[in-house]
Amino acid sequence: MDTQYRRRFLSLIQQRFERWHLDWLSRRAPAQALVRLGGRNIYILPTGQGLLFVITSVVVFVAAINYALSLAFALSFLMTGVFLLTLVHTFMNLQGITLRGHGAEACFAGDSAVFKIIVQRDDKRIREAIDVGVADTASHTKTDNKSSAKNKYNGQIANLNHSLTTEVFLAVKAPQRGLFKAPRLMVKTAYPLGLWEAWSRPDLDLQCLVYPRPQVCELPASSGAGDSADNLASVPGNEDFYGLRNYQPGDSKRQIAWKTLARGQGLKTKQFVDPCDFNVMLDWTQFSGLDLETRLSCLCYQVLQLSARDVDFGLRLPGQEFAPDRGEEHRRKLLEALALWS
Amino acid sequence: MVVNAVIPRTALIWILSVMVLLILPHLTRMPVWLIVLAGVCLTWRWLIYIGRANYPGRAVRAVALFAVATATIVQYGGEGLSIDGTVILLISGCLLKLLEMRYRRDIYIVNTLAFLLLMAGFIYSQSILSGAYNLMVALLILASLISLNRAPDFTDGRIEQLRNLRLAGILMLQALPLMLILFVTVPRISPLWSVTQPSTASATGVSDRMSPGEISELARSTEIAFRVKFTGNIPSPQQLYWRGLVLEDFDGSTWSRNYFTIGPRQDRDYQSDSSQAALDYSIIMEPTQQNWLYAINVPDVNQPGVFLDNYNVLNVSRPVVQRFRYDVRSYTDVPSDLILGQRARNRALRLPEDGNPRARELAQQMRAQYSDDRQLANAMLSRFRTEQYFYTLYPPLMPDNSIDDFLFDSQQGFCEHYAGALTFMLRAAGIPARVVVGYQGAEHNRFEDYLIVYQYNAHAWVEAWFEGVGWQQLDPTAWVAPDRIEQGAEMLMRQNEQTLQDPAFAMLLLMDRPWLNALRLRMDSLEYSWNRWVLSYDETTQLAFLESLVGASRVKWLPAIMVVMLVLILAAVVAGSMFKNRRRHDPVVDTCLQFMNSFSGTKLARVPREGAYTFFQRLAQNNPECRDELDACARDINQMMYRSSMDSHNVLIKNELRALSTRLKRLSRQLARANKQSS
Repeated sequence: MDTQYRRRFLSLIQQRFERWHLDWLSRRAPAQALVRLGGRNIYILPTGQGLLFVITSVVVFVAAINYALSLAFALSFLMTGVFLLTLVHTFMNLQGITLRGHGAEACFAGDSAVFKIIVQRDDKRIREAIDVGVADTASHTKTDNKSSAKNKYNGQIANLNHSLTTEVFLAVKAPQRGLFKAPRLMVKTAYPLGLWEAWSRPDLDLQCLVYPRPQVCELPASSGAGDSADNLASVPGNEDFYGLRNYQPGDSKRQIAWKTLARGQGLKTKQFVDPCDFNVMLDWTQFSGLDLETRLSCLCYQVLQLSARDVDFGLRLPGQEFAPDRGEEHRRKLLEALALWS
Repeated sequence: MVVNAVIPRTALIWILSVMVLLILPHLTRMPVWLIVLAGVCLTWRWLIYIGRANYPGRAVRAVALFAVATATIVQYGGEGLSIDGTVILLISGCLLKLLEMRYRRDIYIVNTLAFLLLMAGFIYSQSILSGAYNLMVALLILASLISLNRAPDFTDGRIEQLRNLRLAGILMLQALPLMLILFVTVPRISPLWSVTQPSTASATGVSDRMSPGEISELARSTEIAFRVKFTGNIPSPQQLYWRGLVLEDFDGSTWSRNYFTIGPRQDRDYQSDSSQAALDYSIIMEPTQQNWLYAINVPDVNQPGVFLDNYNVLNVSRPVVQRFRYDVRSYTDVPSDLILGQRARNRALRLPEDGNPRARELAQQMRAQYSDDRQLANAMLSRFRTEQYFYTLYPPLMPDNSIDDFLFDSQQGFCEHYAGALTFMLRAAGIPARVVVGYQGAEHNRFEDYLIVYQYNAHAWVEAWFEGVGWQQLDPTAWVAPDRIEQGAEMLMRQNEQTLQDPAFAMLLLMDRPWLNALRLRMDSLEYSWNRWVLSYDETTQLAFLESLVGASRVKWLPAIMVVMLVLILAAVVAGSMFKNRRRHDPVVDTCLQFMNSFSGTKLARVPREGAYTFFQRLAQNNPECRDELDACARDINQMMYRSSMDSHNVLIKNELRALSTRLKRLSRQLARANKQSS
């Protein structure tokens, strides 16, 4: 019990500090689309290995005194020199790098938003082993058990050896619908010896639209233009050619696409549907009885389903209405409305 | 760096080779079980590496740890925590760690062990060679750390591996000036607590006992005893009597040191003023494991831990276990002990009750002849020359009544026989006398202008006390074999067929070839400088050097100077790095601009802010006959400019660039010709 309290207390302090630190950072380094790393925004401290290295060098020094060994003195001083120098080298491994963030493709709540970060150098110095990542606050605020501690940080290694630019893709979990703002980046490096770690916390103003998480549901009856639910979508039939799918045992021989087989594209079955060109209208009120987010999730599912079936459909939200239409652009518009609706 | 990540295979190779190189110098000191353990661990690790074996389980590791600990305690436990035992523990720790070295965090421990082992190596040897070797190993440790910290996908391939080494080298080169500054300026202090010394060394050089045959045994060794640098001129060989010990007690066959009289001298025979003739020199002594030093009579040393005893011999409070440097001033003309106390006189006259009757009888006869002590001593010395005495390294054995046998029967002996016999006779005649052992003569190294004293320079002579004169040096060898004193011990040996066949004296044969001898002396002078400037750089030397460097009054500012210099060096590294920060010139752009600028002055000259693409288009419009080539060039330039790899060192890219440049030049000429025709 005691340890549990202590752990909770510690994690509380840690969270407080993290919040204070982030506040401080947001005042010091506000969000920018392009950040150049330099003396103002690089921090550096010795790592655990670096401290051990220093302790070792002190032990060698004491032994050198006691045994009066000139060469052991030299070794100890060499270690000190290397330690001091790697401070410079590690710092310079970050110095002068520019980071540019690209907004991610929209994603669904609970999925990962994938941001593209362009890491660039414009000088001759090779940079290596730069760890670009984000501290994943979503899992951090949860209980600090082992798995979340492991997931706390997800980074990608960027190398600028032969090229001047490189891209890093960061997947950040987007828990809620809406406009997701990625947390500050953590750019760090311990190159070349791992004795020091230099890091920077740039905020590249990374944003991403998060759609509601789709939830499987039946379409209520009152959505069509007055007809039964069966006619809402296109149903399998034999009027219009709809597409091809892989042959499954039992498919009618008449429906096999012989031409594609002749082209060497494998055994396919032609699919036909009966047309149904009703104007479907999705409505906020259709999912009454559910809470707000679930309603949006259901609507999202329906939008996805309907646009996949390629029918005209519209959406009515309180205060917003979209006339029935089809196509990629229409779908995006509706999903965006669902994401941002409040 | 994620500490839980597995060590990359490429980094493992580096770490393994570092391990092998670390253990290699200790191989001769390792007990058999440790060598076996090393073989097993390295093989096992190799099998793991190539995927033929798995990591040992917890039980195996526990048993191995227990076995190693037990073996170490059994072998070295009796002596407390000796340095040998500690080194063995370090090595076995390294070896066992090999088998569980799996994650990056293990490297923390391995790294620490590696540097401690490097340090332990210096306890056993601080030669130039071992210094260079350990520097190389340190370089490899750095390279292994670098390869550990690089991204795994960029560590494959031989070139990338070499880059690790190159970077480690750069780091090392940058660290060397820092090291040098710290080495020179960080204050050296005397040991904090006493430590055990490695047990492998045994006492060498002149010992505190002299029985017939002992010095001649030593005289067959060509090892170096010490090296001497004189501040002024080097004195003549006759003056180079390096006094070691005074042996007063005689038991009928062996002369030995009187241990009841050891202790610092209370009174001094000389005043330290500049009017007296004095020699200033510094000696770097090889370890002897003994408590006394060598110097020319009468020495004066001002160094903590060194004192003068009642026999005017320099003593140190702790045995000389490492190369030891001391600066001496010797007053050559000062008489010693003008007044001899009764106890001292008795000690210097004591003889065994019986034995060697013929020698006693001869002494009594001569005493009756000469009433003056000095005349008597001279008569005894000249007897060695007038009678048939031989000076030889290989005298016959004389078991009992050795002095009688030597004086009257064999008449062949080395310096210890003559010194022992003369002292015996002087004492028998009532003159206080004692045997002195040490070295005589030296070899001059002309490259660094210092003297080398070898073990074969070992010598024994006599001191006799005369009224009004004090102790005076008498060397019977100088009467028997004057060459030994004037030309040195090696001359004597070269004349002897027997010594030349002794493999230990191969060096003497080298001396016949001037260039080989010069090489030998050069190597020794290198080692001497190393000893003088690096190994014996202690408190005293440091202070003297720093005072000569910045002046005595400014020495207290050194810490500040040191810090400033360190900061300056770090700043220089940053500046060097920043210098590379300048925007680089793209060679493709340069080539393109060169082409465009070649038209300046003509009507095709580049319009301000005109891009390469529009420029090429305009040229093509004006000169339709070149359109194809112009278009092709524009396309190539575009391609080369926007490709991701911009490494202009790449040979392929260099070739492409050169080809483009020639094409553009040809185009430029062609266009110029066309325009001239049209205008």
